Amino acid sequence: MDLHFSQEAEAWRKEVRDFLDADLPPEKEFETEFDEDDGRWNFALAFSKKVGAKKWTCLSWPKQYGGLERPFVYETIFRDEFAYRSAPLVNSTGLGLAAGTLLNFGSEKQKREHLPAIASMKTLWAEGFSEPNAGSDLASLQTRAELQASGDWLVNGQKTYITWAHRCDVLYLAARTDPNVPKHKGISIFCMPLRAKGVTMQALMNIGGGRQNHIFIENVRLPADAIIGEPNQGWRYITNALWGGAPSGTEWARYKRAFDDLVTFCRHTGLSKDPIVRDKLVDLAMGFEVLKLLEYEEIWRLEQQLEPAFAGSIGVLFMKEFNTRFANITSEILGASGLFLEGKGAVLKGRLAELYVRSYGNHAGGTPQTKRMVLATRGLGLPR
Amino acid sequence: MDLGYSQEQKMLKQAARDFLSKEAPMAKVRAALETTTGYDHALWKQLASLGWLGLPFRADVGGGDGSIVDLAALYEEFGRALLPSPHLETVVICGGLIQAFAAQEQRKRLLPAIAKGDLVITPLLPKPGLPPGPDSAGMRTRRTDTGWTLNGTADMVTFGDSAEACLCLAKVEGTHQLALFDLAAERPGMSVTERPNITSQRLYTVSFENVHAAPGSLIGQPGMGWKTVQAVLDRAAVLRCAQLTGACARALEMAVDYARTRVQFGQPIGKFQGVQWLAADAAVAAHTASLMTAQAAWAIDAGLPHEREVALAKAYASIAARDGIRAAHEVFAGVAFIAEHDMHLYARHAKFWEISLGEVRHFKERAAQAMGL
Repeated sequence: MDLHFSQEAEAWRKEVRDFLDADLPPEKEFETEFDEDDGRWNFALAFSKKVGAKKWTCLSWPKQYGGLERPFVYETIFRDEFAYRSAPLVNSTGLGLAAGTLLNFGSEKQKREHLPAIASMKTLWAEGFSEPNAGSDLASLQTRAELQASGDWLVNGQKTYITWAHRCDVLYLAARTDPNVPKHKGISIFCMPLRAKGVTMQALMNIGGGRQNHIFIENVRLPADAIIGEPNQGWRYITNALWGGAPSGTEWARYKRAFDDLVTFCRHTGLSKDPIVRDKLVDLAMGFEVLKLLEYEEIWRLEQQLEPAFAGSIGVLFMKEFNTRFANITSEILGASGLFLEGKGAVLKGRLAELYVRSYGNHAGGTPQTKRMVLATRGLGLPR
Repeated sequence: MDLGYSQEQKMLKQAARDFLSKEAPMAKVRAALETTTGYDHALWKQLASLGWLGLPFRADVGGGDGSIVDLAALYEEFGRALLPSPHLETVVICGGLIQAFAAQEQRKRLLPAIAKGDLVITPLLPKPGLPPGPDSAGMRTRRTDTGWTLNGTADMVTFGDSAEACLCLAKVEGTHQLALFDLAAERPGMSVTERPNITSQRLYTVSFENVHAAPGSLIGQPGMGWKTVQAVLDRAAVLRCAQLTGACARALEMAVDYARTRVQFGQPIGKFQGVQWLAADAAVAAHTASLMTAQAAWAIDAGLPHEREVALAKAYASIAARDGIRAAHEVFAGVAFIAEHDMHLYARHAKFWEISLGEVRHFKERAAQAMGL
């Protein structure tokens, strides 16, 4: 049992902090998912390119694809520090889902073509999963990709709720390539340019202040090498990326930051002396402490090549359930002050008020209910 | 970063599981709970021969030099088995206080006796309903010509009917000093009253009215620092967390086994999402409580400040295990409401362990203070 990070890892943490202190002014801290201001987006892109130039976007990747081959714990520390500072790093789908699939299942040519472009922020990726009739039951997706005599693929269908699509270059597209087999066995993954002929978009403004998109795909032609990995293996790639495989983290540092901000407010207003408020603050502290330990456990298991606990579902489930609890308790403590976005009475320029509304986005990446089903069936072996 | 037990700790844990499943099956646990002794004395001697009664003591008194993480590995198994034993009272708390405060001669006399299973001694501790501190000691004492006189009451005393001795923490009248006495269990002026309660632990109120203590029964010297007492109680609190964790994990296993085989509406109930969610809740509770316990145990062993970690762990594990065991109970529904089913014993033990050594709200307040609130 040892919950310390190594000296090298702590030195790395300091290096990341020093960079953030120098290159991220506090007024530029924001979540790119929930901000449509073009000026801020441009800052985020320039900032992300700076991070990419340092190769911090591909810390653990093999050297031949531009990576630094650092242990996974470097990624965890990097992510924690960036999350604590709300550093606006873009391309999370490229760096996570796309790079994970490419590294594990992509062809040599695809790895060399796509990975450096993802890491340097030259190519930004969006996630093309949800459809009007395929949400939690993702495997029932209907977008079709048909193999042509020429070897090209012809794609038709509709994707929906696609975050960042209007800012991105390519879509990590899940499409049905074989309609004659059980639904999980006929899905393939493609890299689809978002500016291809036949792709149109329609904005969907969400309640957190961000934009998502409908994507209409009409007779879009993709070359033979647009398919990632093997045909009809898409479900395996998706579940691997969403439900284990890569270290996904638990965003505990994001909550720790909000907690620290909240405590500052409570001290300033004297609320921290109120026994009811103290009790609630400790409830919050217990939650992010558990999240921290779940993240540490994940990284330790990965290093030891142990299977993730409960099929990798427990961290994300706890995070999702804590997310709602955190927002509710925080908002209760703030009371009326928790309503205002700016001006007199607004706390931290409305940051904690925004957090409350954004907490309703608990479905992203799978609802807590589906995660519980995964935990119960795959993690505990209950019958499906 | 290492959140796992070492090879030796895994072996200890496995040995404990094998031993307890063979020697302490639920029928034996229930039989022990029925008696006013509250534990099985033959089993206690077996624990001694396995070296578990001296595990935390130093080697010079026949101990095993065990760490808190070692003990936590063992205590998870004690929790799983719901083992009725005065181990925490005698070995961890009394043994810990003796190790910290006793004179050399007393240590060499008392600790080997505990390790051999020859001495069961229970502590008279501050009331759990008060913020912990020297003022929460329920007993007070004053010096007399022939030794000391003790007065006062201790609540929530365990093994009050069967312990051969008690270790009494008392406040020296007119001072802020604490003094510790080793007293044989029966003496004039002492009364022991059993308190019927909802947990599966027999609890007693011990009252002293001008109880005489000879000078030799004083452990160490008066004026022991509360911090050292607190350090011993913190270790005990972490081990309560390990028991809670083990009990919750076992309750989950029982619920999952039942949900796989119990058929209603033509299918195993474990196929229903409503039941799956209960199981998922119990799993999250048991697993996260074990992580919080591990962190606190490690912080103590590593010699780090651990006020916050221990307080968060005890508050968290108490709530999580209670909720997890309740979720497991709900999977069984009416079956578990019948007393012959074992599930209620998990809930009853968890309730006692929750209150033992300090209520949740006090651990939360300690955590708040440790976080600078």
